Amino acid sequence: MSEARRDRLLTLLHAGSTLPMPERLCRVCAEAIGVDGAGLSLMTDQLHRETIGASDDVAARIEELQLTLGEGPCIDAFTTGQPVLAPDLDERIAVTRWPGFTPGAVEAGARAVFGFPLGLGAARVGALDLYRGAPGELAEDEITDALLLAELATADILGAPTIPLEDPATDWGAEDLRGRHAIVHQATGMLMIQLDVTIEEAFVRLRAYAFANDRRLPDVAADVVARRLRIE
Amino acid sequence: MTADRERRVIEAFVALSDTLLDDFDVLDFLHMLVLRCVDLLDAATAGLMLADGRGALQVMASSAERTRLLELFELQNDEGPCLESYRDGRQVASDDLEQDLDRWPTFAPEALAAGFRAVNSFPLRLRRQVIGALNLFRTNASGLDDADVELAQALADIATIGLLQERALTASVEHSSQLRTALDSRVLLEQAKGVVGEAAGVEMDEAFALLRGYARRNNRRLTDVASDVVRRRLTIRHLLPAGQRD
Repeated sequence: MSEARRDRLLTLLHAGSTLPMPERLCRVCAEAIGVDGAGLSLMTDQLHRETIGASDDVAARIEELQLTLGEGPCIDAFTTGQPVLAPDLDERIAVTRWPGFTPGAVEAGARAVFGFPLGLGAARVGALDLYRGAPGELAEDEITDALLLAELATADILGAPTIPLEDPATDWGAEDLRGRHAIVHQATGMLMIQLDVTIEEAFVRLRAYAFANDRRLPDVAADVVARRLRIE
Repeated sequence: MTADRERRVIEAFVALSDTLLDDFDVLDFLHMLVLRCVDLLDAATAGLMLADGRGALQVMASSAERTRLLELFELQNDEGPCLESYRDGRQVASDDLEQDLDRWPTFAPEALAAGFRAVNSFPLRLRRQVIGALNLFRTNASGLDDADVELAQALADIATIGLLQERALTASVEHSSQLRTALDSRVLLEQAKGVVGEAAGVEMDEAFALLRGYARRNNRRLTDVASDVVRRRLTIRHLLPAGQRD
């Protein structure tokens, strides 16, 4: 069941588009999830923030508002590492929480906004925002799809620029970034100290090494953890 | 049930309900639950696995954090009692893995090589879904009696409830995002183990002990300590108990 869902999303993502990944992903969100649009922004702790994809003008405006004002579901999702769901921007809680963002978003045409963090454990790279012109909650399966798409976006962001994910031969999501192998994340932590970089950078370097040497990520990770391999 | 065992069961449930408070941390909770499983059910090792969005099983808690043991749990993504329990939503048992080499041609030899002779798996059930499985290993060839089976399933059910206590930022309950947050917490913990392992020059199970020890001494959530370590707000000097620094 879960495999079928993931395959469906991957098929939509691969479907002969020439748009860059972030744009493509935002459009797939709109199509697949039954929201009106989506936006994708990169963020780091150093407050560097940049929108890299938006499915339409409303989504672009939602991203712009959040990055300019420094508030909104997307910002909160990034900061907390948890999804932030605002099914009705007319509700008092939305206005109280995001006094600048909420009226601006409503004026732009959004009545519901849902922010999903992009990250892997402590590695945080940004957020994915979904919006609707009408109020209403996301259904359980829509949330599941959004979480999967957020994962795919994370995979792409934590691979570029060393891994050419624009290459049609690349199978997004084939590489298991998340859960099956604890050793991958342990190796990432070790690399962070060995190379004296951020956890995000460490993960990119680990993947880059695996890709450059045509090896599976868990196998490289096992060598790092067993101290058979030292990545420079 | 003997009076002593009954007391330990009660203590376990009280301790478990204690964790459903303000500073609830899913990693602390599940770690304590698997330790209770080992204590109450006379198991050598207990592990809890949760399915991610793609249906792959991820270790959420283990009574021992040795790398080889975690890999034995993860191996069950391809074959094993845990996989069957998760996939079919039923209890799966082998009283003697020597007799089940055909059943699990990859998993059984690995488990035997690790010193385990018997295994039981219990599904983590949520309404009509199965979200993971609880795995118990024993070193002697034996089965669980009915009372133990019932207790193990009850503990698995408590694990499921605990997993849904993960704080949600909206009033309504979205299971997907709660489970995803729990899985992500575990990824965070693994990252922190790597950081500590490298910085302190220790193996992963020792790294876990250092993280957990610090969390307990300072009355902090394990998840928060892990986050601070990876974000470099806590260094190895902080984690080492006084007297072991330099």
